[in-house]
Amino acid sequence: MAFSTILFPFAFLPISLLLYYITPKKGRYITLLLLSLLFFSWGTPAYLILMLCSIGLNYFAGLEIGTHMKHGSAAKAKLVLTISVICNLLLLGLFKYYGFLIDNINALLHTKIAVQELPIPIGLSFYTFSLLSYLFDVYRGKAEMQKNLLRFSLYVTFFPKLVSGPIMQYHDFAPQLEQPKADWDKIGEGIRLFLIGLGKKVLLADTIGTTFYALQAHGGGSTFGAWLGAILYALMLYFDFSGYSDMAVGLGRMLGFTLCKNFEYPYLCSSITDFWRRWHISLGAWFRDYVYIPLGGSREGKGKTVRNLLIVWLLTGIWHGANWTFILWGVYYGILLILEKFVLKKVVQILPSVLKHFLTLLLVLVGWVFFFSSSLSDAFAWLGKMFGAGPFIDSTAKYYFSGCWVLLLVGLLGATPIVSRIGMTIYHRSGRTVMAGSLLFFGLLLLLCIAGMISSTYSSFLYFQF
Amino acid sequence: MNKTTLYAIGRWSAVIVAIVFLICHFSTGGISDTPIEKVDAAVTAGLDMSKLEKSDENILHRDYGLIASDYDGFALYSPVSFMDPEEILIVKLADPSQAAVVQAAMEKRLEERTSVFDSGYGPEQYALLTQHAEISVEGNYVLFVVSKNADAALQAFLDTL
Repeated sequence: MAFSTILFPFAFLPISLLLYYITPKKGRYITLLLLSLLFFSWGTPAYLILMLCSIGLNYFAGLEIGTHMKHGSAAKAKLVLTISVICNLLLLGLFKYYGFLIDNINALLHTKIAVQELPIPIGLSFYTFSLLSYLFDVYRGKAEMQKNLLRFSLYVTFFPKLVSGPIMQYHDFAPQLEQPKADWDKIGEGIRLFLIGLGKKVLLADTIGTTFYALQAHGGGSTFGAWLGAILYALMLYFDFSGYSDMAVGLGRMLGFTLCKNFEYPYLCSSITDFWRRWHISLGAWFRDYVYIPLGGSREGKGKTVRNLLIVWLLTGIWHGANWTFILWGVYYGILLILEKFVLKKVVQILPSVLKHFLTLLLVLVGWVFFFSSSLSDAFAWLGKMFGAGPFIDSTAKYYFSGCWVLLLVGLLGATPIVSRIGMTIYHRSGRTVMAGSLLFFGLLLLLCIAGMISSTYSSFLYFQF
Repeated sequence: MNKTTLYAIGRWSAVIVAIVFLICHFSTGGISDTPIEKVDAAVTAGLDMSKLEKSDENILHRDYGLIASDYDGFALYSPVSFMDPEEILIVKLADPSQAAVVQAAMEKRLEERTSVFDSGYGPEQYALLTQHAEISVEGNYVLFVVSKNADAALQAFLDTL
């Protein structure tokens, strides 16, 4: 069930809020868990068994690790940790990478091994990372083992973050499991964030997407068309994923939980490092805390730092999908970050900030071409067009640009904090006029979103595929 | 029995149940007893059917080269106008080994329809065929759908099986 379908805001959400708040405080987490399990099993109910197995495996593994650590048996704890991590990754690999692996074996060895692909359980990549975070946190003593099975289950399945994050690290989420803090202010703030996210998705991402997909169907067409397509995709992906994240954070607030921020105006970045501090922040933080730092981070010399960066970015690429395009996209960022850190550091420092910003965005746009292309040959063909192979401009690109330039400007403006700052300044002023204005604005936003949801086609969130 | 042994038993029990579930799920290949009428109703429920009409086995043979009697059932909706790209075909296989043939027939049909609107002739139809077409094999069912709501149709298809 996607947040941006009519069913969610008009049936699932109000019923959930009602049931949650009429439940006595002590039992609210049980209501929330049941709702989250219902949310998870909505699409493919059979996978509920698998989810319960994952919860059972990691719950008991956490208890075992925690008990061994308390008794000073670090080696035994490490063994349990290793086995449990392998089990989690095998499950992820089976659903997500098995088909890709067999396809590559078939292509390489000219074999004809049959691939039977099954639908991926929703949020598999995201909740697997949540489970791993729990195991690592207990092993490292960053969090206590969770003895309450229901609370642990809620951490894994909490529906606002289940499908596409933000990936909450266990030590950040654990205190909230004991006592969510809900009040009217938070509920109001949650509704505001949810509506903003819904607007980003329905009014901006989906509308921009219509033009982008039409352009993509023509392979970009010309240099101008290819650049226009890359810019449209960059905006669509941002509004789609940050819209989803806003909705998730908003839903969390409505229920008294604080989920971490996933975006901080990424297209304002002045370097690639800066971009990754602003884009999909929770995933970056996960890889930093559970892969990069344990590997030694940047503390063990240049050689090992380069190795660690490449490992992290290769894994980041693989995490995004079973396709060579994602793997190359990950490696591309690994190489860029290494160059930025070791080779171009001094050059980057002396460049004027406008130029730094421009060059970074250029590199990010090139990266998105790998991200949206279905194969490497498609990606290179598109990049070829961006950099001059083919005509400079064609009638298709002109046609689509004439139809979308206003939307493009709105999108570019929306990707900066200007609109948000103006809105927040007004929002935080007291007074009846401001209150009435806010209500009118959000009421209008909701109406436009409803119209958008009813009239347009169903459009899943782009990050659901990961 | 100490605590850690109990925890280990719990952990391995979860792993064993997961393995049994996965073996059952993969070995049956998701064979579904759901009647084709129910799948048909679920898939078409969220779609705009105004440009489509229900077609018989002759059209199935003409457009896809498939013989209806070879299969347990089918539901075909063809475009009313040749200029409309929307199309839906659901086939319930008599045997999962037929999946490759049906899938190939659907891919060929998609290719033919795409080539009709290629070269700038019917850009909207071309975009729909290249961006909103789904072919999905799930055990004994195969779905082919070209629609603005192909994602939703696919999800409904998976949910019903």
